[in-house]
Parts: sequence; structure tokens; C-alpha cells
Amino acid sequence: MNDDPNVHARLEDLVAMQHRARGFSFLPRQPIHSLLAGRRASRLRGRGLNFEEIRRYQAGDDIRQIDWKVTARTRKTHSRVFTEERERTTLLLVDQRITMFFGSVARMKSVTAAQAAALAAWRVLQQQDRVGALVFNDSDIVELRPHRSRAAVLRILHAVVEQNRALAVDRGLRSNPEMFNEALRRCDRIAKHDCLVCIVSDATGHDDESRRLLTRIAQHNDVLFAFVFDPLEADLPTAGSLVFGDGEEQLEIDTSSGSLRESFRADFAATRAAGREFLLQRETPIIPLDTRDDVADQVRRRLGARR
Amino acid sequence: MLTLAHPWLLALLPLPLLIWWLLPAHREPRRELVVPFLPRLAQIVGQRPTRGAAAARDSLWRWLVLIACWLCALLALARPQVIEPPISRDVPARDLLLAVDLSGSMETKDFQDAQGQSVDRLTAVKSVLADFLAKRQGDRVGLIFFGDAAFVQVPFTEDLHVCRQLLDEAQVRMAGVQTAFGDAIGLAISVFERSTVKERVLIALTDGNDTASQVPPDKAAQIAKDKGIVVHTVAVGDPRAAGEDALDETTLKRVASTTGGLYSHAGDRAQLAAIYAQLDALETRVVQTISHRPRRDVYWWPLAVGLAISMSYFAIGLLARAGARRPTAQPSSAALAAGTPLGLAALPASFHFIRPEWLLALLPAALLWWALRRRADTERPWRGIIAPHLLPHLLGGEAGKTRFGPVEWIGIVWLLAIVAIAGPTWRREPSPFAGDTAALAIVVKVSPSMQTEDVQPSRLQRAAQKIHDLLKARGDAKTSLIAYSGSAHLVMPATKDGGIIDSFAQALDPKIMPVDGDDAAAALTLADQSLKDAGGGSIVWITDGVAPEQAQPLAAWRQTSDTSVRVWPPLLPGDELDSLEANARPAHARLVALAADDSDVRTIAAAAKFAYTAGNASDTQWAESGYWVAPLIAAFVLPFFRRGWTTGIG
Repeated sequence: MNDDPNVHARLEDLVAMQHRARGFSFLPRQPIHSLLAGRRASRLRGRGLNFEEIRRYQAGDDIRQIDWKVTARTRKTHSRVFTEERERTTLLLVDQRITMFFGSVARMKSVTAAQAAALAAWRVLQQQDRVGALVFNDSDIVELRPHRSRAAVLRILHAVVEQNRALAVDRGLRSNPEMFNEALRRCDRIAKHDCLVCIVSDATGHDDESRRLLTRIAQHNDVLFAFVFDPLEADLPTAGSLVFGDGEEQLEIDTSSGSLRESFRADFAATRAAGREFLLQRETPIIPLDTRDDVADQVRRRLGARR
Repeated sequence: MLTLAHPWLLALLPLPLLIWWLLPAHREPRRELVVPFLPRLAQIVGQRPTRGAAAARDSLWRWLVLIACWLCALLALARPQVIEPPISRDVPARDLLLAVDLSGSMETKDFQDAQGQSVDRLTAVKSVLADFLAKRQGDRVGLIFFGDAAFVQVPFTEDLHVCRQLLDEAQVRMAGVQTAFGDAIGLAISVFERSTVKERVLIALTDGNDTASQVPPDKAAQIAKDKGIVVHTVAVGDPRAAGEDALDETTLKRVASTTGGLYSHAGDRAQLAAIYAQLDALETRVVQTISHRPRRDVYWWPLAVGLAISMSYFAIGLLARAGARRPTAQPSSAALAAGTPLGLAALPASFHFIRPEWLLALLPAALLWWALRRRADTERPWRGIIAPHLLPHLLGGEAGKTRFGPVEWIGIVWLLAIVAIAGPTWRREPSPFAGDTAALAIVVKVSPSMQTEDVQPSRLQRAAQKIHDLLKARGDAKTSLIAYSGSAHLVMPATKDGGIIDSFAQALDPKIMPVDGDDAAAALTLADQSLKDAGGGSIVWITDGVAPEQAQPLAAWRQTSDTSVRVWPPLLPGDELDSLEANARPAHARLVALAADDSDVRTIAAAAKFAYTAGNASDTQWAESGYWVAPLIAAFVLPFFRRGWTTGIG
């Protein structure tokens, strides 16, 4: 097995992503340049208060917060300090289907997706939220219940790596577009409400059913769509005659034809624009992730970092 | 005139249809880039993805070119030949023998020549014969000198010039002072024995008076008549003379009348003219003509056309698409080296190409093939597009990649075609005229050492036996004989009459050599001379040793001559042989070991037959062996008619 980290994700790389999971946030209070800015700030999900500490009463403290037991015991006025509860369970939908096993520049789409998922999981853990995942390939969906622990994150990463390393062009893996809807259906069942649903996929196999499912999920949850794509999917190179295939069948295309390249480009752009429009109507932002640039940089650029 | 040697092969014309019909369609598996967006791409292009290569490349042009190539291959297979204008050769229908008296009496100055001056009889004979020879074009003429004994000075030859030269060199008393006229007729009879020509004429020029014959002239004349030989007698001398030098006119007349010939006096020009007239009239000048219309193989014309068509088609195709592609690296020399043909070293030494300039076409063919191969390599264009560390993981469709795909077949067909066009050959075409085989000069060292009896019966005798076998093996081919020791002598100029050479070879004896020693270089020079007269050939050098001091002269001779020399020592392996080999090296002589059987004879005969002859080595004499590649080419073109076969190319 070739151990190129750009072809197949390695667990240690994904674990190391925790150090890069900074500089962006999924929280309501968003940096000004974030995609999420101005959208959710006023609407606070989660309820109740989390106990933070007991400290000496300070002027201005709400007198209702004075802890009478401690005050009585110490004979000094103490007040309980609560912080807002920010809990928001995050559910990652990580696509590791064979269609993700493609990349022309730096790394595979599947690796990009794995890294993005790892980044999100670590970030969520740092925010003290629970993180769960649906990791799916062309045949299986691995469901990992949300937990707020490092072990849970590692379990997710493990599942991702396992499916990631199973990908190869010569293993007779058949693309199964239906899996996209299947994963959304499972997600719809798990994410009842107030979750952040993070979909990391190339959206292969999206159809009206997916739109319906997404609409349903977005009604009660926040959805963030990380759209993973490769530059070659967006634009064909000018390189004469090229043979494309899917492992079984072949198609020879003369890429010197300008009209062909143009229609290919237009088709991709149109599909992407339609998806973007649809998701935005459901207040779902898209983070385009290409296979060229560093994933953390791309996420940071979209979700927070100052430009 | 153009004809087909095997026109029935044109019936194979519809064979491609059969191939197209019967063979299952070919799918050229090619490397592909496994992409997730294939369905989308297919939808945009409006094509359905197929297993194996797409069949979208079949175009009308391609079929036209393919059919043209098939036609060319088939035409070459049918073996077109140009029938050239007939080459005819006159074969002399008459053999004339001139018996010239060289007895002492021939120096008597009693003859009036045309200017009225008194000259000796021999000079008169020479002038008479010079006249005579000038009119004998087309006949074979031999020359017998007789004195004490008769000997053949010139065996039958068509080269009247040589004959004339040798006649001029004749000296009175060369063969002794007496006159063996009867023996001369006897010798003539035995010489005629070996001639196949029906009309046999002997012209005896003598001053008569047989003094030394073992066979009396009358008896000899009788035998000659039985053998169908006509003897004309020309008396030279003064009929009124008496005594020793007297002219025996009666004998001469009788000999002539017995055999049906004419008697004449050399001074009597009218009578001589009558003899000439009779020669012309009686034996009608039937010049036998061997006619031969050589057929020249031109199978390579259609092959060249086919090659040009196919190569230019692909070249145009490649150039047309070149604009769409990035400039590519120059071809590696390894690719070219792979295209050059065959290790020629293992082939027979005579292997060569008739039209080697066509081999230059290998270069563009190799380049084109290399470019085609690059094009057929569908993995290559992806290398510039996909990052190198990702590409190996994304390539598919490799399984079942055949080593010999259509592109390789194209390469093979081109290679075969070019080789065939270049006209490989390694043997000469058997000449229509048997006499065309190269001449051979046999150089024999005749020294006392050659009488050593380590080889039974003796070296010289064994050599003579071998020469006998060799002459038999050579049949009608021209052979000359040179003997040497301290001096070199042309025993017999090149002649087709093996019998004479044989008899002279048997008679070689150290005693007849005037100077003892070793003058090999002079002998080889003499041999070269005789070969030049005979139109080129090779030398067989029979010697039991070469003096070390001959190294310089031999090397000097080798500088001036490129005649091939084979040393054929009548020696058993040993020191002598080794030193001979070493000393003969300056002459670049190849050693042929003496064999108990006749294998050495056959080796030399075969080598001598096709010896490089500077005079008549024209290319047409080499047998065109390239035709036999044509069936192979046709067979290799056929698969291109299989459906889907050509789609992987270009």
C-alpha cells in the first residue's frame, strides 16, 4: 500500500489537525468576514446555564446568584457564576465514496474531505460541544453518536481513515450515487433539532430527494455544506486526445475542442450555482474546498480569519 | 513490359472482407484516467462510454488508405516483373584451329609479301593469319604450334585479339627445329574431342615435309576425316626449293583432299580467298544466338507506394494534431536504436542490400512510429495534467494490455516493407549464360619442395589431382594456369577448355622451370593479368611455402590488386602450414585446407563462381530476395481490417 498522505489519509495526520483547528468558529458570534456572520448572531440556540465557579460577591452581581450555603459556611458573600450554555451538537457527514477518490493537483478529494472533517471535529471539541458523525462510502454508513470527548473524535477519525484507505480505482468499487440521499436520510433521523450538520461531500448523486431532505434538516438545524471539488472537474485542460474512464468503460475526448471545454465548464458552473442558490435559500452556507490549497487555510478563509 | 508472375494471387483481394466479417471486433485496451465525472462528460460530448477504446476514429480516409495499402501489398505479392528487352549472345558455331609450323625451316626468307619485300616464312604466316583472324569474328579460334612436337599455344577462344598477340610472340624453333605435322593434326583431333561444336576446321600452315611425326600426316588426316574435321592446308615457302626445306606439296594436298579441305599456297592470294570463301560458304555461318529476356523483380514499387501512402497519412495526421499539443521532447536515441534492423553480423558475408539508400527510410519510419506509439500511449498526456504522485492511483484500464498492438504491427509492417524495398540479397542470380561465371587463375608453385611425398603421391601430383577435380567442378568456366618458382609463367591463358589446363597441370614438373626460387608476387601479378583479360575472377594459389622475403612484394601487389586469393596448400597440418599461413598473410590470402574428400574443391569452386568481378558486377545479377518478404507484409497488413483494430492508432 502506497503511504502517500495525499492519496490516502493517515490517522496521525488527522490527529495532528487539532493544532490547526483554530482561527475559525462555528459559534453564533462570528468574525466579521465569516460566511456565518450576520446570520445567526441574534439567535441563540441551547438553553439553561452552565455552572462555572463560585466566587466572592462582587458589586453588580445579580443578588439572585448568591449562593446562600457557601455564604453561610464561609460567612462571606459568595455568588455562583453561570456561563451561557453554548452546547450545540455537531454532526459531520463525511463522504468517502469512490467518486471522492480523485484529485489532480495536491491531494485526493477524499483526503480533503477527511482533513476537513478532522478539522471540524477538533474545532467542535475545542468548543466543548459534542461531535458525532456519519461516515459513508458506496456501501456503508458508519454512525458515530455525538460525544464530547477526545475519544469520540478519534473514533470518528478512525472510521474516516478506514473508509478512506479502502478507496482505490482497481478494486472494482462501483459508484453509488444513492448513498448521498441515504446518508441525508440517516442524518435527518439523528439530528432532531438544534444541531450543526456539517456535510463534507462532492454532492454526487444529489437530486430532488436530496433537496427535500436537506430542506427538512435545515428546518431545525444549522447546515454547513463543505463542497469538495477538484479543479479538473471544473475545467478540462487543452491536451489533445484524452481517455477518460470509470474503471470499466472508456471515453475518448478530444480536449482541443474549445466548445467542448466551454460546455464542460459551463455545466459545472451551472450545477454549482444552482446548488448554491438552493442551499442559500435554506440559509445554508457553502464552503467550497478544492484539492489544491491547504484545507485549514480554506476553512479559515471562509469561516473567520481576517483577510 | 510489366507482367505479374503470380496474377492468381490477386484472387486474395477480398480476403480483408473475410477478416472484417469473421474476426470479432478488436477492443484495444488503453490506459484511462478514472474520473468521477464520466457520465457528465459523456452527456456533454453526446457519446456513450464503451469498453475498450472508443470506435470514433474510423474515418473514410483511414479506410481508403488501408485499402490502398492492401492493394499495394497484394500487388507486390503477385510479383510484378519488368520484362526487359531480350539479351542475346552469339555463341560461335565454328571452332577453328590454326596449326602453325615453327620448325627451323620457317626462317627461310623466300617469301614475297604484299609490298614485294622478301620476308621469312613465319612472318608470312603471321601476316596471312592476321588477315584471316580479322575476318573470323564470331568463331572460336585455337592455336597450335608445332615443331619437334605439337603443343596448344591458345586453346579455343573467342578473344581473337589474345590469339593474335600470342601468335605474334611465336618464334621459329620455339618447339624445335623439326616438323611434326602429323602430330599437330593428332593434337588438333584431341583438342576437337573436347569441343562441342559440330563444324570443325583445322587450318595448317606449314612448309611441309613431315620430319618428326609419330603419326604420319596421311594417317592423321584419315582419323581427322573420321572425326569430321576439315583440314585446310596452306603451304608456306617456295615450291621450287629442294632438300631439307623442300615443300611437300603432295602431302599437303593429300591431307586437304582426304578431309575435304582445300590446299593453297600462302603466296596465292586468290587461293586463300577461296579458302575463306569456303569457310564462309560451306560451313554456313550459323551463329547460334542464345536469347534471354531477363525479368526484373519490381515487387518493391507497389511496396514503396504503400509505404509512402501509409507513412504520409500518419505523418499528416500527426502534424494536423500537433498544433493542439505541447512541444514534445526529442526522441531518445534508444527508441531509434530499437528501430534499426537486425544484427547483420550473423548473416552470410555476401549479404547486402541492392538499394541500401531505401534503408534511410527507416529513420522517418522509426520517428513516425515512435510518435504514433506516443499517441497510442493514452497515459502520457495525463502526465502533464495530473500531479505525478496522484496519477498512478488514478490510472485504470491497463489490464489486458497487449504487447503487440496495432501500433507495433504498423512498426513491423514498415520495417518489413523497408527491408524488402531495400532488396536484401545474398546470392547471385544464376546467369543465363554459363560462361558468365567468374574466371579462376590457378597459381601453382613448381619447385623441388613440391615433390616431397609427405602427401601421397607427392605434393605436386596431389595438387594436379585437385586441379583436375576443380576443373571438373567448374565445368565451362574460364580458368587460367600460372606456374612459378624463381620466375612466373603463364602456362595457359584463361580458357573454357578445362581439358587443356588439366593436361598442362599434370605435366608440371620442377625440371621445366628455368629459375629456382620463389617469386610468388610475380605469379600473382601474372594471374591478375590473365584474370583481367578474362573479365575478372579470383585466384587459387597452390603452394607449399612462401619465402619470408616475399612479404614485401606480396604486400606491394596487394596494394594494387583487390582480387581475392585463396591459398590451397597441398600440406598436412604442421609447422610448414603455419609458416605458410603467416608468410602469405601480406597477400590477404584465405586458407583452404587440403581435404581428403572433395569438400575443399567444392568450397573453392563455389567461391570462385561468385568471386567479385570488377568488370561485370552489376546489381541486376544479384537475386532479389526481398520478394519473399512480401507474403509476410501482406499477412501483417490483413489484421488491420479487423474491426476496431485501427482505432487505437494515431
